[in-house]
Order: sequence, then C-alpha cells, then structure tokens
Amino acid sequence: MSAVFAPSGDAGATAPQAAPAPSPLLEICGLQAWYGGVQVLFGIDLEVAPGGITALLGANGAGKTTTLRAISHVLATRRGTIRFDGRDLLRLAAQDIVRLGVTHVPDGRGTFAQLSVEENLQLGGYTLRSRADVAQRIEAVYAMFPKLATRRWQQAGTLSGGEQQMVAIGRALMPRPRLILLDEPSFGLAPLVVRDIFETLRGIVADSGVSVLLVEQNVNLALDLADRAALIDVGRVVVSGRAADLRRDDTVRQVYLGY
Amino acid sequence: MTITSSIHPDARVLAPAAPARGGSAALALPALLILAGAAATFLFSGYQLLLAANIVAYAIAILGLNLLAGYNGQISLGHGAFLAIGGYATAILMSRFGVPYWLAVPLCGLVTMVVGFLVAIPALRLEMLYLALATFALAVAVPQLAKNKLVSGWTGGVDGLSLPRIRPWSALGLDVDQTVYVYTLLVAIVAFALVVNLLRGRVGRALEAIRDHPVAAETMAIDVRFFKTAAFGVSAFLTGTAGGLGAIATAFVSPDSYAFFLSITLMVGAVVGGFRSVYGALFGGAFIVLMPNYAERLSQGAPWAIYGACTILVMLVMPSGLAGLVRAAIDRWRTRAR
Amino acid sequence: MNEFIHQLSTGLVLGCVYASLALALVMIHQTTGLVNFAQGEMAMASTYLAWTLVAHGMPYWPAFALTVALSFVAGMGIERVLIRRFDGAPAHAVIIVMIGLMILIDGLVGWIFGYDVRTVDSPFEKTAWLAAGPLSAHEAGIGLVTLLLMALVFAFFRFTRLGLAMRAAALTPLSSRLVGINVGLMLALGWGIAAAIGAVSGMLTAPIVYLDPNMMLNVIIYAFAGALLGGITNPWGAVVGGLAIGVAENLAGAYLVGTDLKLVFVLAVIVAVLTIRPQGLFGRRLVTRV
Repeated sequence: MSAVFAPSGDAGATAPQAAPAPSPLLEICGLQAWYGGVQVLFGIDLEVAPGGITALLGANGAGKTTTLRAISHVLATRRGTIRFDGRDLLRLAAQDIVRLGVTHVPDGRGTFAQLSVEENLQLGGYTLRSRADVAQRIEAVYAMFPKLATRRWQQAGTLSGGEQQMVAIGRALMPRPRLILLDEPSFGLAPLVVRDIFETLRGIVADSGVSVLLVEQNVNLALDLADRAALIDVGRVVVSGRAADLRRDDTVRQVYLGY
Repeated sequence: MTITSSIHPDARVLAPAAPARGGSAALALPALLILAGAAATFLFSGYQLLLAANIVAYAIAILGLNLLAGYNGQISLGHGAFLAIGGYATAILMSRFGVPYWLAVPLCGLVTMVVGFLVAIPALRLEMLYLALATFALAVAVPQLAKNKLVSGWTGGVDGLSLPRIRPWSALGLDVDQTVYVYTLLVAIVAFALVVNLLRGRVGRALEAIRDHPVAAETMAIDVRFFKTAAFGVSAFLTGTAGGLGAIATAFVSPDSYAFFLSITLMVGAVVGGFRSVYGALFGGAFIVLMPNYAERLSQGAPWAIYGACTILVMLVMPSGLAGLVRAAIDRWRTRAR
Repeated sequence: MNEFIHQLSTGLVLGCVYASLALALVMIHQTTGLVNFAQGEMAMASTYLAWTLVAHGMPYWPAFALTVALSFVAGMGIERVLIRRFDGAPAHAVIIVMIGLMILIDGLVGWIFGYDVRTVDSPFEKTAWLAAGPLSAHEAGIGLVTLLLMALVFAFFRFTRLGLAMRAAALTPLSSRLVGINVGLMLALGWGIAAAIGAVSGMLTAPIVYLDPNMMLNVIIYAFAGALLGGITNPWGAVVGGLAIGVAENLAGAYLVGTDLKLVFVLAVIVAVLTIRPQGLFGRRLVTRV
C-alpha cells in the first residue's frame, strides 16, 4: 500500500481544477517479481504521468532495478499489472515492448563494448523502418551529445564512463520512445559529468516530451531533477508524490533518505 | 550468447556421489562388485571373458577421464592418445625388452603419466573450449603418429606389434583368458580404491572447487596449477594402464586400434555412465563394450548413432548418467524399505 | 619449379575447401559464441542429401539450391530444439552435446547409406572454360565459390542490419533484447546460415575427397586449424587461415615431414596458436570479466 501525499490544497503550483489529470502513461498495480525462486517485489504500485521525470528511490536491493526489468520484460517471472498507454505489457515479449515506445538503459549502461559508437546507435534504431530514418535519428543524437560525434567510430568499451552513459542514453533515444527507463545513470561517474548529463537529459525531456522513469541512488540529484518521486523499500512503494514535497518532508527525509 | 561456467540449475544432480555413509554400508557396494567380478571368472569363458576384461579395462580408462574431465573440469576429447601410449608402451616393453606383463602394465602407466604431465603444461593455459579443440586434434593425429616412419621401427608402423602370450596361472587352475581377466580385475580394484580414496577428502574437494570456481579456488590458497597438473598425470596413469591391459588382452596393438573415434567413445562412456561418479566408469565401460556388440548387427553405423543419441539424451534428461539412475533407484528402494 | 607451383595450387584449392568450412565455423562463433564440433558432419549429411536428390534425377544446381535451403532449416531446427536448451548450462555440457550430435549424424548417415566410398561428379566439368593454368575447372570453381562466400559473409556482418543484430545478440544478449532484437531468432538464424554454408562446402569438397560418411573428418580438423590461425572472430581471417593451412600442409607434406605426418603438423599448429595467440592472426581478443 502506498501513502500518497495529498497533491491539491497545498500552497504551490497546482493545476487549475477544471483540467482533468492526464491519464498515466505507465500504470503498475500490485507488481510481484521473482529472480528464480527468490521473490524481490511484493506488490509495487506506481504511476508515471506523461511528460516529465519520475524518480524511483530506495536503498540497495530494495527492488528498483527489478522494477525496471519487470517493465521491459528482461526478467522472467512477474505477476500483477503493468499497463503502458492502456496496453498490457505483461503479455508482450521484450522486443515488442520496445516497439510500443518503451526503452531501457540498464544499470551498468549495457553498451555493446566491442562495437563502435555508431554501431551502438544503429542497434538502438533496430526497430526503425528505414535506413534513412536511422541515419536521421543518429544525427539527432549527435546533436544532443556533440562529444559523441567526435568518437563515432571508436569502440564503445574504450570510452570514458560519462561518454558511455551518453551512448547508452543516445541508444535509448533512437526509436523515438515515449518512455525511457533509466537505471542509475550516475553510477561510477564524477559529479561534474553527472551534472552535465542530467542537464542534457532535462533539455531532452523539455524538447521532445519524452517521459523518464529514473532509478537513482543519489537522492539529491534525483529529487533535483525529477518532478515526481516514489520510494521503494523491500519490494514495495512506501511513499510517493511530488519531488518537491518529498524533499521538504522531515519524516521522509530522516527515515528513508537518511538526512 | 557466450557460455558461462556458472553452476547448472541442476547442480545438486550433478554433485558427486555423496561421501560414503559410514561403516559397513559403505563397503557393501564395492564388496558386491568385487564378488561379482570374481565370480565372472568361472561363469564365463573364452570370448565372453575377453569382453569382460575389456569392460573392466575401459572402466579404468573412463575412470581416468572422469577424474580429469568430470571432477576437475578439464575436458579431454583425446584420451585415446593415452590408451595408445599405454598399449604401445606395454607392447614394446614386452616384445622388445622381455618385461613380464605384470610389470609392464604398471610401468606403462608410469610412462603415460609422464606424458600426461607434459601435456598438462600447455593444457593448463587453455580454457575449456580450446582444450577441447586441442585434444580433439590430438585424437585425430594419434594414429598417424603411430604409423610414422620415424618411429615405426619401434611401433611396427602400419602392421602394428604383437605381444607375447601370457603364461596362465595354472597353479590356481586358471587358463590364459581367465588369467588375463583376473589380472585386469585386480588392477581395477587397486585403481578404483586409489581414486575413491583420493577423491574422498581434501583432494576431491580441491579438484571440484577448481572445476566450479577456478578464480575463487585460487584465492582460497588452492594451488590450482599443482592440482590440475596432478589430475592430468593421474588421469593419464589410469588410462595408460588401461591401455596396457587392453593390449595384453588382445595380444596385439596397431594404429587402427586407436583411431580418432576411440577418444570420442571414451567420452561417451564417461558421460553415459555418469560424468562425475566413480562407479559411473563401470557403467560406462559396460555400455561402450556391450552395446556395439549388439548394435553392430543392425549396421556398421548403428553403434555410433546410438552413442550419439544416448549422449544427447543423457545430457538432456539425466545428466548424472546411469550411475545417477542407479543411485536414485537405490535411494527410492531405501526409503521404501523404511 | 613446376612441381612447386603444382603443390602451391593444390594447396590453395585444398585451402579453399578448409576455408569454406571455416566460414561456417566463424558464422556460428560470431552469432552464438560456440565452436560447432558437428559442423563437418552436418555438411557431410547435406552432401549426402544432395547426392540422393541428384541420384533421383534432379539436375545438379536445383539440387544444390534445395539442399542449401533444407540445410538452413535443419540448422535452425537443431539450434532451437537442442542447443538452446543448454543456454546457461556449464561450459562442458554443450560441447558434449555437439560431440554427441557429430557421431549421431555420422552413425545415421552410415546406417542409411553404408560406408562405401562413392565418386561424385563435379558440377564444373561442364564449364571447362573455368580451368586456368594449373587449376582444373573444378578447382577454379571451388576457388570462385569460396571467395564469393567469403565476400557474402563479410558483407553480411559488416553492412547489413541483420548481421549487426546477430553479432550484438551474441555479444550482449540483454542489451540486444532492450533494443528490440529477438535474440532467440538470431541464434537460430546463425546456425541455419552456418549449416547452409557447410552444405556448400561439403558439396564442393565431395568431388575431391569422395563421398563417404567420414569424408569431413579430416577437413574439419584443418578447418578448425585455419579458423583458429586466422582468427575465429573474422570471416576473411578464417579464409586466409584456411588457405594458409592448405598451402602449408601441402608444402610441408611434400618437402618437409612427409605426407603421413600432415595431421600431426596440423595438431602442432593448433596447439601453437592456442597457447601463443588464441585470437589468431587477425582475430580480436575477447576479454571476459572475472
């Protein structure tokens, strides 16, 4: 069961009451998941609204990465409901989920280390119909990450951590997704590099309207960047609401965020 | 898809035979087998005894292969080479130097062991797949090596070598065939006892640790190089000895006796019998000697088709082979008896 | 000098035979990470299929095409039904299964067709104009087909989307799924294409080594050696390796060690490559993280 902060009635920016809340892009109800015989998720309830960034927070092993893997179906055993744009994701194979518009940047980046940057991006565009389209999207990605353009033909495994993260995000952006699942982009990166990437991310979200579900251990950064946030503890969502609210709340900060 | 050496989900099935539960029960099975083996001396004769001797000899060879590939994870598709070395060494010792057979066989085991140590030097550096490839090539090259002009003065080249016939233990009332069989059986008892003892304690665990988690084993102060080399040596010793036993049983060795497919046959026997089991070697030996006997009537190709089918089936549905089946049956009989 | 050229050209022709089978090995390795021990026997079975079709009256090239197509399907089937089950099993398991497959196919073909050695006509006899210098029409034909195969495989991996996807599926299956690649299909296709290449190799080889169930046994060893020497991650590396082995084997056999030590020579090459430089001359070293 999740405790949701009452969004309306507070001082602060709220939508005028006449406009209805947009239906969630991603809806997760009672999601349970297992790795082999071990249960990791015990009933996740989560909503991701279209546009903007939603952060998924929690300690190590709480189930954040598992949640993302459950959504993109690179994890075998799941039970519950996952709905994207009204479509049931549970029945779909991983490759079809990509075609629906959900891409996933896994933890550890998942770049094809032995292939070049260009080839990584080409693979990102695997589900696109025409070569021309792929080429166009690659140029668009290079426009977002100019640094990568200079390293087009370099083997991805030889890039710096920050550049590999750019490749990973760029690859996820190739098929014009509606939702990107982003798993710990700050991992192993220097703070300046992370800030850089997050800035770019913010820009991308603003420009293209893509939604992001962001898993992060770095709470400050995440709450800074995100619009909404949810906190997972031992496989369940315990708190969710607007990022700004979570930042301000003392109890949440002390009990769950540790400061 | 890259192959990872992670533990198969059915690891418990692939686990070695549980250490013998103490006391008399542990000795029951070996005692039974020894009695049965001894009884065979008088129950069978002639050609059947030859088959029996072959089964026991191959069991020793497969035991060697099991030790190296099953327990220690160093897969070898070329163990026929060790059979060949043992067989030829015995033949040369007996026909050229007049060494009596009961000395020649253990000696050839030692000779093969030395070769095993030599082979281990490059082999240690190869990972599983490459080791399989290299030993595969070895198996193919062996017959050519035996035929080659450079050594054919010793090996008899294409024609092979005959061994002098063994003098029977007439004092015990045994004819030649029975003598060969009993001698083979005695060697087998010693060999199996040796291996069971070896695998029971620290050595067995070290070998398996190296197989399953080579990097972790190294950090646990297990001298990986030592154990892997030793495994090769002991494995070669066993298989070489088996080669010698085979040679005295047929009283003849030639390059054709050790064709490429022999190495494959040994592997099949090891897998079907039970890859990580000492007793599996017995089942394996019986399988590879007896099955072709019958299948050959169908066609020359039938034994191979059956070998192949059985190997695949075993890997698919019963990875612990015939030994596992027997163990499961015994366990079920035990629980029902309670 | 004439003798030397003759040995050289024979070596090159044999090298093409090894190279074509080595290409099949490369295909499977690049797409599934496995070295298919049964590749030779699969090629042999395809060749018997072609021979049966021709013996029943089908003209050569249609039989060739049909055999390639059927081999493709069979290869995909074997991967899907058998090999796929060992995904994630310990490393030795799939090797043993491939060995089992090898002898199963050998035994089945021997059972059905017997072990008599049959002679097979070359399809290139009709096109005698192909003969060039010391090479007969068939030998020239083998050379051309091998080069064509190599070009096709190279182009496939380098320039096509599917080729890239298949490489990716072998390298990083998880990330491949995340970009929408059907990894299972890629694996099956890899085996299918390799089986098709093997079929071509077998059908080219049969006129030279004659048709019998064990015809590919020696070839596969040389093909392994060639693929390892050139680098099993690399189509043209494998071809160069195969050619080199063919020439070296022939020259060594004629001038150095005598024909009856050829296999020993190959063994020495394999062990040398694996211990000194496992990735071969042109291959790429794949470092596995501990």
